[in-house]
Amino acid sequence: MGRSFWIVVALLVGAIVHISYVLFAPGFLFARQLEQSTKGKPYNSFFISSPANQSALLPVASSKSVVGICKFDLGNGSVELNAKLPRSYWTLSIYSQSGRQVYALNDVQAGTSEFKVELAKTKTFFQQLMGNGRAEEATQIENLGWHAETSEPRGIAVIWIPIADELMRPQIETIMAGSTCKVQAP
Amino acid sequence: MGRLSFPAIALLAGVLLGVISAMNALSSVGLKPVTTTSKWSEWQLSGGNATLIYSLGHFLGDGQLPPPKSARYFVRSTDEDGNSLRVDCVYVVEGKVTPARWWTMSVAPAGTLAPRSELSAGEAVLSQDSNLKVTISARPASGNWIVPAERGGLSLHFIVNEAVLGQDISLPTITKSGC
Repeated sequence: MGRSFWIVVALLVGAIVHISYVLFAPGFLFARQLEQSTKGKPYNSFFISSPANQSALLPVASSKSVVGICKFDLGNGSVELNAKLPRSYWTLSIYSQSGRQVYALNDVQAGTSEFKVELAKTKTFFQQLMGNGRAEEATQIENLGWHAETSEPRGIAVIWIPIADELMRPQIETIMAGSTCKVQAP
Repeated sequence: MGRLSFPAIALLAGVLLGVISAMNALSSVGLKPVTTTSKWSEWQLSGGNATLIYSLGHFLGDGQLPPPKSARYFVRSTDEDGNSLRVDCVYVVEGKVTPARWWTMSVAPAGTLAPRSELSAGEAVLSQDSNLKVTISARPASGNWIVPAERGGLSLHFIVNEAVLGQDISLPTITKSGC
């Protein structure tokens, strides 16, 4: 076969590698970094990140912020994040393990500084078709609080509170430490 | 070891081309100039944007979570004259205060995301006419002061969280005042 054929093949291989790299490599690199930066922290537990770690993980979070993290694993069922936050500006962002943001909430939208978010796996097409699984739909507000779904079983929920004065950190951390992240009772 | 055949070289070249072009695209495709004349560029993070996959990949590949969808992320690496920002020079950043719930301005070594020093909405001191003036200098400066990285080039990052809807974000100018 002629050289021109192999040049066309090389270009096709290049295009496939380009697309594959862009789609999969960043998510893989991020998942590995997340494991390293939250090493020793068990899944389905809430912890407050150290100032050094938080800016490495979240670009909006400078060292002058308080960042609470719930590293969740939906393998054993839905996870309930029970947040206790100060009455100030805060944001909650929920990301899948590959770094896709699946849910966001802030203090104005929540209207309260104490709330619950149920994290669940997205129902498969077959489950939706059969009416199998939980009855409530995604984002529906029910008695429990808010409901978020992700197609990936693992992920991270990040609560970010910017602070104007470093002296406020202990007080905010004390309030935030009352938050929990655990597998929902069946 | 025998010589590689042309098909093997072509396939290898294809793989290398794919990897290099992907890495290059992740660091630049998602970053668009704010306007044709602006020195500021913005990471395209909103949904429905064709370059979103590259913007998200840029942050994820660096081991960072992408900024929340409610944030806007601006970056620049040149002053008003178009010269690259350098650690050994003093710069003055000036502009109107951005109508947003929170903002953070930080400097980082060129080509990186990790901020070395920053100033946020909560600590910035404004002038009487509500203008913001920040000095970027390795030496202490009066007023708002950001210390640049130890050596090499600089980039200035400006992250605006939950800007007021319907109002344009005013981006500050950056002028060299000496080296």
